[in-house]
Amino acid sequence: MTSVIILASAGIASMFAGIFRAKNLALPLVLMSCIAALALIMFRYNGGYESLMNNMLLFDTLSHGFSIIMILLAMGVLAISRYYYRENIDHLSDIYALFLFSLIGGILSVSYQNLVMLFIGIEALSIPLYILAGSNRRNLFSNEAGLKYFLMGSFATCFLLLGITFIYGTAYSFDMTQIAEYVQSQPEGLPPMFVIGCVLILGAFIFKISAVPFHFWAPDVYQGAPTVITAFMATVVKVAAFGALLRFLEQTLMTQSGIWQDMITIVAILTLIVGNVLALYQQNFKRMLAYSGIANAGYVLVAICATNALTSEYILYYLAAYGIASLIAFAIYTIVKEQTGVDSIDGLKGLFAHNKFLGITLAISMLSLSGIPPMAGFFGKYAVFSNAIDGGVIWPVIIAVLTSLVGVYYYLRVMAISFTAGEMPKVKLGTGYTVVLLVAAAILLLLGILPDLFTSLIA
Amino acid sequence: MSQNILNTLSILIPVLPLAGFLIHILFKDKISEKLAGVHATAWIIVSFVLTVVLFAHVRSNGAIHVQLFDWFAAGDMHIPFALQIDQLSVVMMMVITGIGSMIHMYSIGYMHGDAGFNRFFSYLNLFIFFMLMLVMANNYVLMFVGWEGVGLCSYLLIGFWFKNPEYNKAANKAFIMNRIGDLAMLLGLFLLFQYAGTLTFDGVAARFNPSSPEYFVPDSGMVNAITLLLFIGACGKSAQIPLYTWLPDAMAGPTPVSALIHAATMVTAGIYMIVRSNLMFSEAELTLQIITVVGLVTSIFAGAIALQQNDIKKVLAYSTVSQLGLMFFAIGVGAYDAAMFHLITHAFFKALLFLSAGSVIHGMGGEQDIRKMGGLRSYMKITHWVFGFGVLAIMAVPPFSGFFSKDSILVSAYHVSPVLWVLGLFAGLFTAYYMMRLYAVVFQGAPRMTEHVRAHIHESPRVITIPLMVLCALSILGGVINLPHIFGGNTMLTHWLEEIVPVHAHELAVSTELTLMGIASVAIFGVIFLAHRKYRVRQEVPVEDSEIHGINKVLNHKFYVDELYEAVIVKPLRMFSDFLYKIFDLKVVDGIVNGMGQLVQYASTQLRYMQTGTVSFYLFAMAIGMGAIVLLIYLM
Repeated sequence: MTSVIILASAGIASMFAGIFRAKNLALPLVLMSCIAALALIMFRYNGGYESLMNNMLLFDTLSHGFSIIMILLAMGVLAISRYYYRENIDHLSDIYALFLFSLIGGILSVSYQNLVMLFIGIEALSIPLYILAGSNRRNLFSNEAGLKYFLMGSFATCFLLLGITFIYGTAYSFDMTQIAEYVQSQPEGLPPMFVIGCVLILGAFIFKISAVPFHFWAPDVYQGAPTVITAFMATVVKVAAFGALLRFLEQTLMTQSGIWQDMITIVAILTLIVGNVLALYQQNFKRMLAYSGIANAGYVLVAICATNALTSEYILYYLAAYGIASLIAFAIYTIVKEQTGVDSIDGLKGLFAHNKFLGITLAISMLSLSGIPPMAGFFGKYAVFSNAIDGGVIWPVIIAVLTSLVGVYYYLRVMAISFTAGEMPKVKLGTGYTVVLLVAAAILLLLGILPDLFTSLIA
Repeated sequence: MSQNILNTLSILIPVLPLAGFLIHILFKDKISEKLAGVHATAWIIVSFVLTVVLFAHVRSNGAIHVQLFDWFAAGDMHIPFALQIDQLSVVMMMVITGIGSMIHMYSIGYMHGDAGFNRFFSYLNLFIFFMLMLVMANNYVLMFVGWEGVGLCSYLLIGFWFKNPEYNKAANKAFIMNRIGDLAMLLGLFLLFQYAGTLTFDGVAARFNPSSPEYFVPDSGMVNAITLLLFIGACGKSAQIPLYTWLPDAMAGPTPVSALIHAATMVTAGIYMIVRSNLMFSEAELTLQIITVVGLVTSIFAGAIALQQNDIKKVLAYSTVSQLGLMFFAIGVGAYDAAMFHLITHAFFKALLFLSAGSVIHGMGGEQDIRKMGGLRSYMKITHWVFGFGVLAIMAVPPFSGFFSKDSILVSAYHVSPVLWVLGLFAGLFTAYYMMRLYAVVFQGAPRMTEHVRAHIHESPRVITIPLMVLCALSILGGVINLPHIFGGNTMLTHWLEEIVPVHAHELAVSTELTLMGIASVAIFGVIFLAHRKYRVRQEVPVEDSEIHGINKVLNHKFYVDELYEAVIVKPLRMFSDFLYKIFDLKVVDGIVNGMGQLVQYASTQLRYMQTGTVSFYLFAMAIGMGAIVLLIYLM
């Protein structure tokens, strides 16, 4: 909880910094607060469970692991946003503050013990993003993205609220423990209203993780929004939504797999097929990454189909690998786009020849995303698939393996094109970019070579 | 000595050559030729000294087991990374490091000035490392690592002068033929694991040792299958029919390589492996019969080919094939100790012969055709003498080392059947003939080289002649390690190996043994006399290739076996793979793969029309989707 307070104070302080014309202080401030929050979480980590505010929030292993990954990814996004907003500096400190508020929403939505808290968390996560998606005011696409995201997001919020209402109507409580007790006390079957409530809530989660059939917003919004916001949505938001989904399933519906398992399985299969197949066709790098984000949600859903005690650890590992690799890809997309105007995949020709560092980090990122050892992505896929097979989930895994072959094609195409000869000016890298790319690539390699390290550090 | 010191010493023995390899390969452009040569040799000499220390320890305290770590475990299979230095392996280690250090020293002189000098020594060190792993392993899997490793080094060294495409072809040939054997070997190991449930030497031996509690009565069909597969593996490595044709071609490598890898050590790995598994092989009657026949036929066949070869190294190569055949013959008749004995003496004199041949080639400026030599005795005195002694040893002239080892093989054969004794002796007569021919044509008679070459003939430097003299002494005296009772010896080697190779105590009557020896010696002297009269007294010189006719032409062309393999195996395989490529791969496989790709791309183009960009459609899809999910849950 202390970490949430620190992040919130830093956010407010950052807004003040904007008022008092001390914008250059804002970035160090928010980064420091992130590091402090991270340290606190890791330090408290072994302290065990911490239930707060009359069982509204619970900081346990699940929330700690997901929070750490989210904060790390958010730090990466923050570090590259300084350059991205270099010309639009007026609201920079406000933008940082919004990032932090959204991050807090993410932390809350993986730590909730009460459906009301879940709602607050999800909204705190989303509302800053509606603004951020449209933050590039002079760009029509950005405006469109912001509006679209807002409209679709409010629709999903309706699902969520309606679901919570239905559950309250049957179980007479918002409290997760009591809902779980209610589920236990109905061995002969749950009333339809409760089931529909659960399905509606799951629907809201599926929207947030941009899985089929609630994925339509993602490509448009991802492409239109400023790239750093896209990176944030594709990584931090996805991690938060998966954390919330896992918590919901583990704490309430674990014993009632009939309600959700078929649903998640079908959604997973659809997501895998649609995400991967559509990514294949994309010529725009950013849009391809959006579909890649949809497809990767599918792999995680396959893991969720077979939920058991270890699953959250594997899912976390997978999300970390996916998030970090995507962060690299978005960072490289941003910097190349900003300096050379290229936003198609074909435009990456000559990247390696003229920008060795970018070429290599992009290659690492793409290899990891396509799941080729020794990158972290390989072990992520391996752990998720083998866990699913152990849980008796066979068909979704077969489809996941087949579609990941399609994935290999479009990821490696990016890499192959970046290695072919072509003209490209030398790209100037700021310190923020260099550090983020270097650290992210190192983590991908390190996690891939020593997967156990992750387990001992975080999960 | 404490276990710790023993462990360290045992590990150091293979690690030193490995360190040598790493240093040479990493700094191959930085260290000078002189330093590299001395340095590489020093590692092997230190290894040899350590081996002698361990030998003394094994002698007084028995085998040493060094458990390093569990290499891998899968299901019921536990493969330790462990070394086993027992009576058998320590003997092999002495041969490898002892002869290895001599050959390293020799190579300093022989390879002097070669552009790849440092690379050569790095490979040589690597070879010693793998060879030591092969004999020091305590299980079949680790042994297989060494087995493959020496194959790799052999490949690298045959193709050492890789700018010559012929040499590369020879290297490929060796590698591919060995793969055929290795495939059988692997299958044999799989079967063995399935049958015995373990792959450690001790574990397998216990299954076949009637006095062990883990013994079970062997299922002869299974044991025959396993041993036969392992034997095919040995055929590849030890150049037996039908997988022998790579060895003569392997002479493309520098001569020290021929001496070390293709005569003294690597090619005897097959013998070692079978002696190692002798309890199992003794239960496989059919396999032993096959080994006897294959060994004998190879020995005679290769000996016959050697009669008509005119390349000094080719003669020695076929001679090696022939001698290896003799060792397998010994194994076939159950005389594992005799096979080991011959392995050791053969290592001495064949290394000597190859190295002196190298010295000749070196002195002649690279010439290998014996028809262009002659009369070298007055130009290269030391080489002449040591070569002469090597020839006496390999001919089995008493009292040189070869005499005793061949005699012990023949005596064992006589136990099984006098016919085998006659056939074994017959194989030996070829040796006597072609070696006498080789010696006389190269060293005796009138010089036949051009004036220019003659002016440059010189005795090799001391760094070459010292190893020759050491090996010469060993070739002369090597017989004492297993001197039979009738000469006042006590068959030391046989007793030494007793723990691994049980002795079947059956002695021939002294008179019979002496008679057999007498007949054999007379026959050998007779053949030597024939060759002597033809090549030394009448000074005949082998004719040009174009003038060879009749049976000699067949022999000169090595019975056309290479051509036969080309026509029967290589060509049909090429045609088949051509067919697979053009029809199956290009049409069927590519068709399916590309078809799948096109299908996915088509789906991609169609699916993307769903992405209209209209918010109302998206919202509609969400609502429909949610309805569908709810419906689904109630329907399912």
